Formats: sequence, structure tokens, C-alpha cells
Amino acid sequence: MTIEKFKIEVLPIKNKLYRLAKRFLVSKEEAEDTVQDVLLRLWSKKDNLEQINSIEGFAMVITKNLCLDKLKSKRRNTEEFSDTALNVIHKTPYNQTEMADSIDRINEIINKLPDQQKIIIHLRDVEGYEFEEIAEVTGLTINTIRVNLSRARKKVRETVLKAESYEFSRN
Amino acid sequence: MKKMILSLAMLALFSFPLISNAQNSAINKLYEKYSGRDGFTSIVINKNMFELFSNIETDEENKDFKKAISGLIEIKILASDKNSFDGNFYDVIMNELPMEEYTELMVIHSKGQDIKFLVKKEEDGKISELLMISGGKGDDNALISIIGDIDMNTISKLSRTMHISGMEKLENLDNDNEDKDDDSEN
Amino acid sequence: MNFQEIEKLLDKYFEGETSINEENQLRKYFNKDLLPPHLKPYKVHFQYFSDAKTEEITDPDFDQMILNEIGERKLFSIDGKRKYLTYSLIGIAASIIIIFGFFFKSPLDNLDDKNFAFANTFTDPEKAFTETQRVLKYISDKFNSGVEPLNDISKFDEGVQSLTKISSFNKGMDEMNKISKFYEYKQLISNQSVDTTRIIKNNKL
Repeated sequence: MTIEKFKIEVLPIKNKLYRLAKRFLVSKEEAEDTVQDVLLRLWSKKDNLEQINSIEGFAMVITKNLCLDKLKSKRRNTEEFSDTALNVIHKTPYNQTEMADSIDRINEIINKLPDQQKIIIHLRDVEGYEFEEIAEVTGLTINTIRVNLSRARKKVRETVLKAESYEFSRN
Repeated sequence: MKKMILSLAMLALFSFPLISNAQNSAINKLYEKYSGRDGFTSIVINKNMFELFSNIETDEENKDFKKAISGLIEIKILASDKNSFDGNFYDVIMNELPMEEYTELMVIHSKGQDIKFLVKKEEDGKISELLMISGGKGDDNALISIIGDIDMNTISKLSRTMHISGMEKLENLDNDNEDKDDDSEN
Repeated sequence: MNFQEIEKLLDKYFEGETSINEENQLRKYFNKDLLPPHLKPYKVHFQYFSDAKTEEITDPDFDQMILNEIGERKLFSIDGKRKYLTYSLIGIAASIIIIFGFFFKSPLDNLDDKNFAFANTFTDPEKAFTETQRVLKYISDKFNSGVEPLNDISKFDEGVQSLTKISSFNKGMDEMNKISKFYEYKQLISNQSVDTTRIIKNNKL
């Protein structure tokens, strides 16, 4: 794969990778560094890239693994798994309405989800991946994906409704 | 990054000159050192010239000569006038030669003259270089180097069979060489 | 779409059983400003995910930084935070190879026609020819002068090449030399147009 092709076909993936990395690592800088890492790794495999069906899927897997590795080593280094250390509340430029707090809360709750649920709800509800695509990245069965997606979404709902103090029927 | 630097270094290393090759630099150095000097005659004839020989009319008797030449790549002669050199040219050359690279084929001592034949042999037994060094009080002070596919058999036949076309030509040659000497003094 | 249908979809959604299409419908619906009160809380839910999708890398030089690392040559500086200057490593490697390529010689190179250390002394092939003859004959003569005495001792045919060290010859060699010099002289004389018979005749006179 030439640099030109890489520019056109691979670089544009960067934001998806970024969002996923940030989902795990929370920090902007760390997420950017990870994406850089991933892209360079992709380049190092440039001879094989053209044979891969989905370069994006492949890249997402690498991103996921890198993030999980980083988190593992972080967890080893900190004595306790501290919520505040890993979850930094940040304000997005889009939170301009009274929903600002709610948005942040949702972000927080998703970032605190178990890894599987986290990545599944992220890939589905943020990136719009089909179940097959999610299966490709996570290596999970579609059933497992559905179950985890359901749990994750319900957790988000729980948070929102708690805030709203609005009762709603649950399954 | 580290990998790239390492492979760059390896690349540069392998690109470096291979100094020890078949036409040894020792002989060339000797040649270079003395060929310009007063009282020395230097002659080089190489394959490019050999190839032109086919255009020259020769007698049948020169078949051996042609055969001898066919494998040759270069002949170098460095000859000195008896008076121009202090001491023994032979000794000088022997000092500067990388003797490990050569096998002594024959040494002839006679009154006032030493002659040594050295060869460089390849793995298949073929001779790739022949050196003849002669020195002494006589006027035959010379270093002759022949490179190529050398067949001593054929060469030794030459003294019997070769008919040098016209000695007068040789005399003219000597005159030419003297002229060359004059030129080289400039 | 009425809110009952939406409620049905929502249930499906939280069970993880909606399709992408249906989820898009939900998203569209909840984007509206006017919503039934009991569904309002879900607006933020879907809002969040729409917003999250727009999040991007903020560094404007990110792409170029990657390309530099890969090897595209470019020079630029940023807001002071990171000055990034990279030269194509491939380019450097290439120039090093080219420079050293001139020195690289295989052992066979010097035997190559084009690669002689010295130029031909003669420009006239005929002169070169004669000189080559002379040299080879000279070598041949000298060589044979060392070899011939041995012919009496042992048989030499092709075995010349396996000749190893022969140490000094003695007076016999002198004899040989005298003889070969005689032959040289004889040749010299016979090639010159000298009327030897007349000289002798003159001497007799």
C-alpha cells in the first residue's frame, strides 16, 4: 500500500478510532496517542492491508486491544480501581442546554460500564455498527452482543430516569 | 525508529569497499609508485587491447600465442634501468608483496640475476595471477604481472614455437619506450 | 409515528432487539422539540449518542504528523506545543547507498573490462601485440630455463602447473643461460640483414 492510498483509505478512520480509544481511556491526549500508535501499526502492516476485508474493523480491534492493555497496566499501578482517577468529567461543546449535566452523567455511566458492555453500546449507539461488525471487533456472538447491549442501555436509562425522577416501567 | 537506524547502519556497512580483491592493491600500489619515476618503464596491456589483436594478421605458428592470450585479462610490466635503482629491485618488490596471497612456483638464481615466479591459485586449481620478478646486476630488473586465466603449459610452449614478427619492430619498440620515458619525465 | 408505536420500539430497543433502521427512527423522533411528557426523559438518551458521534481529534496537524512518521517529507511547525521536523529516512538511506555504491566492488569487478585500474599503454594494437608477444616469450623463456634441466630428472608434461618450490640451480643454470642467450643472439643476427658470410670473408682477408 502506498502512502497515497494510506492517506485516502486509512487516515480517515482516525476519528472512529479516537472515539473508541477515548471511551476506554477518557483522556483526550491518551486517546490521540493511541490512535497515532494504531495508525503506525497499520502502516507497518501495509503490505497485508489490501487483503483485509475491513481495514476499519481491523483497526478497531487493534485500538481496543491497545486500550485494554493500557488499562490493565494502569490498574496494576494504582492500588485501587479509582473511579475518579479514570473518569474525568469533561464538558463537550455541545452541552449548551439544561441537558448538559445529563449528558455528562450519561458519559460517565457508560465509561463505568464493564468493558464488554461499554464497547458494545459504543459501537452500536455511537458508531452505528451492525451486530456482525460488532462481532468482528469483539469476537463475541451476536446473542451475547444483544444481551450486553440491552443491559448497557438499561443502565443508561436508569441513570437518566434517576435524575429525572421519572418512574417508568422496567422489564 | 531503532530498527530503521539499525538497518541503515547495516546497509552502509555492506556498501563499504571490498578492498581485498583479485587484482590486489599491493601490485597496483607498487606500479603506481614506480611507474612515473625516472629510469622506470611501465607498460599495461589489458583485455580491451587483447580483443583488438584478432584483427592483426599472424602466422599459423602463433596459434599458441593466441591461445595463451585468450584467457588473459591484464599484463603489467614494471622495468627499471640497471643504473637508476639503488640496490636490488627484486628485494624492494619482495618486501612490498603480500606473500600470503601467493604461492612460490619457481626460483632461479644465477650469476647476477634472481628470478622468482609466483602464482595465485584459485580453488579449482586454476592460476589467476602470475608474477615474475627479476632483479640483479643485469639489466633485467622487472616485475611482470599477468592476471587472468593462465595456462602455464601454453605459455611454456611459446618460447619454442613463437615467432616474433620482425625483431626490428622490437627495436622500434625500445625506441618508443625510451620516448615514453622522456614523456614521463615531464 | 404515534407515541404508542414509539413506546413499542423503545421496549424493543432496551431489549437490544431493534434494527439499525428502527433505531434511526427512534433517534429522529426524539430529536423533535415537542414530545409527550412521559417520553421527554428519553430525549437526552438519544441526544447523547448523536453528540458523541461528532467527537473528533482536535489537533489539526495530526494527519501530517503521521505522514511524517511514515516517511512523507514535509516541514512544518505548530502552535509551539510540538515542533515536528522529519526528513524522509528512506531518502537518507537512498543517498547513503548511492554514495557508497561507488565504492562497492565485488572481487570480480576488477577483472571486469570496464574497471581496469590502469589504462592501456599502447594505443596502436600492433605495437601492443608485439609487446605482448615479447613479454610472453620472455616469461616463457625464463620459465623454461628453470624447468628444462629437470626434464632429464623426471618427466614433465602437464605437470608444470604442479611445480612447487625449486631451490637454486647451480652452475648448470649458467650454462643454460649462456645457451639461451646464444640463441637469442643468433635470432637477432639472423633477423638483421647482415651479411655474415661477407664479414667472415673480410676477416679472412
